[in-house]
Amino acid sequence: MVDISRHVDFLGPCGKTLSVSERSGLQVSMMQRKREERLEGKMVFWGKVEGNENDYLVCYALATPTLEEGDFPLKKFYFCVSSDTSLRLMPAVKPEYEVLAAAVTGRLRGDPSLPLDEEPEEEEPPAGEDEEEEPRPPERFLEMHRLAHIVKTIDRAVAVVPKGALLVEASRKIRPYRNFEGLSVEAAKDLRSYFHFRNPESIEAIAALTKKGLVRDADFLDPIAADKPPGCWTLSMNPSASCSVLRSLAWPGYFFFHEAETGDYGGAYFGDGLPNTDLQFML
Amino acid sequence: MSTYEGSRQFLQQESSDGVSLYTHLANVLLKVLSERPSDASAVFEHLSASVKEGTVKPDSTTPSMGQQSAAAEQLKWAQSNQALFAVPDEPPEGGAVVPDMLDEANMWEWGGVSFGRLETYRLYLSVKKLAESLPGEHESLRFWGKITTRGDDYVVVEGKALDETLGEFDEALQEGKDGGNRCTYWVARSPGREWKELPPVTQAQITAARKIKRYFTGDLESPVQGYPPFPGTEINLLRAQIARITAGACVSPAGFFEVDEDAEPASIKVAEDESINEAFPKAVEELMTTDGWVHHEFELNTLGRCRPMPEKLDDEGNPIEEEDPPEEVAPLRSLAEDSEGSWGFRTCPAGAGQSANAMVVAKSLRWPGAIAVAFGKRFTNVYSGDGVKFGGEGPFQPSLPPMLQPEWTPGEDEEGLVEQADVLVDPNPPEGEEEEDE
Repeated sequence: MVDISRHVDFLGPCGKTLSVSERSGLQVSMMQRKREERLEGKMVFWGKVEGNENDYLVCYALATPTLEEGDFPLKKFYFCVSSDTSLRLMPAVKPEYEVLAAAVTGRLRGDPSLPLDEEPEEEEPPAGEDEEEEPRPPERFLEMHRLAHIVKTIDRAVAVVPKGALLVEASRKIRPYRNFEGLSVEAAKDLRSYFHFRNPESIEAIAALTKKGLVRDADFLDPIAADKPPGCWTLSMNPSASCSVLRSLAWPGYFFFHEAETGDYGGAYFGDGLPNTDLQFML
Repeated sequence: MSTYEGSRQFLQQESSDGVSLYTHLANVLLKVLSERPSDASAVFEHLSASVKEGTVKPDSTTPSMGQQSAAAEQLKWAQSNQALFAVPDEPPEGGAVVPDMLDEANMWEWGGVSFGRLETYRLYLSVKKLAESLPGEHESLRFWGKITTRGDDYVVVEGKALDETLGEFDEALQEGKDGGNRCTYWVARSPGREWKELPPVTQAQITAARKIKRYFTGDLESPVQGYPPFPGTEINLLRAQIARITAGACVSPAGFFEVDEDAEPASIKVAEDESINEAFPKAVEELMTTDGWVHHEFELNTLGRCRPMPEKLDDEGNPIEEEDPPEEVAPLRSLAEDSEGSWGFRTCPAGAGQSANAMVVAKSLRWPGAIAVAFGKRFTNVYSGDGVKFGGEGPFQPSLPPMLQPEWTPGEDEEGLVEQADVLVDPNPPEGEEEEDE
């Protein structure tokens, strides 16, 4: 999550950036989406998924979950292509699409409406039915569905928050802590100060949430230091030793920064949306 | 009054940690009033907890070891970078030509590559310092790019190679200034830190680098793990990857370079100003296809060389014909000859902002992070990535160990091996016989 108006200079160590036209277009489109859809949370930039012919820009807004959806803030994703920055809601990932998306390999093309499944056979509309009603074409599996699956997978695997940046309210709702003052330089150099920004999956974390009393974020979030294989994250400091730089090697292209002793942190993905399946050989 | 006093007295009782509830509440309220969080009631528990944590801290005025070392690192960074901003008493004379990095950085930014604007300026100062310290024969330096590693990054600068730096070498193992070592590279970890010259690359290092797939560790002296064994340390691997990326992804719109027929062997040179002025600026449509671009660096062949192997002479002085020599690739080959899906093109700006004189960015899909930007009568190449080639569809397969050598079998007119008859020797010969031998 990167605030495109404030955080662009922090992206320096990752070597990638958004061009002026992309930033300018997103600024407009984010505001439009936020106000038209009455989003309560702030719209932030999530990343750029590069395709062969065009690139996707992905943004999201945090939303408070309803009672059934649990306690963890939800991310409502939007996407656009870099040549046309009007954001559209990311389609939901249906279970059957997850299977289809996992079967597709290779790079994305950059065309959201590119069908990726086999062409369905043309069926003759059965006679005798209402002919006035247009037969709806069956929904195809498109590249935007694959994109939605990729973004969801990457976000689950690599979205990071520093320790202390989220809190559990007395009502058990989890939300960003507005008074987060940042990690000390010493803590910022420690991989154990960073956690997955996702609904906790480890048993310890889930148990901590059901416990009564004050819950520390070190307890209710999954630590990234436990990710497998060891070494799939690299943590270093920028040249001035004031900002930590975290990179995922399992999903090359994910970059996270935290300016120590300030509340500034953020992460972004600039990559082709493919996992690194060869990591074991590369460490 | 007595009840008020009594309550107050109760609240002011010190608990076991020496803090009364009265003081604690006062401190929490003080924190709320000084920080004025907009959601004070929602975060009250956390405020209370952080006040408690603060009071039990032993002595917050003495910085811890970690804080001290962090402060020392930051001071070191500031001092080393301050040196970049120092104005020299006399303007420096000679030296290599400083690249026009700041202008090029704008073009890179359109292509989606940026090292941060402030950092780019310090990089520029650092490259300028390097250029001034080098002999002018290196000609113009070029900011090659940045490779991210598992530790600190590698910032790479390219300049023309000199005979002195190459030293003496075996032509059959390594190429000189007309081939793979046409350029010398310098690497630094960040602006303000010293530049280190990379050693020349050998062809064995290039062929070995093709077979392994590794992230750089960030330590130039560290050994390179993996199979087959890499001849050299990470500094050699870095040089080999730079050579591979340069050969594969340094491209320019057709017309900037031409083949220098006069040179022996034929090399690539910048075209005359007149012909560049005639050919450029090109139409955007022309640059949006692979036909509009060429590689302006020599291809590295299967042996890891740009040029054919030097001729070997047999004992009588006749050249020996190489068996199955790699195909010679003509210089300035078009991108259309690369395999399908090696390049992606974008106009910048794209969409509504696209115009007839927009920039065109060529992105290498084989070496993610390598881009070329063409704008008007200029072009620039830069690399910003992890130095690893795109693996394609399938997973990486490390090369298998070579086949076991077959047992020796006799030829047709050779005699096979015959086991010798066992010679039985009595280990404990009777003593009498031994004496007889003497």
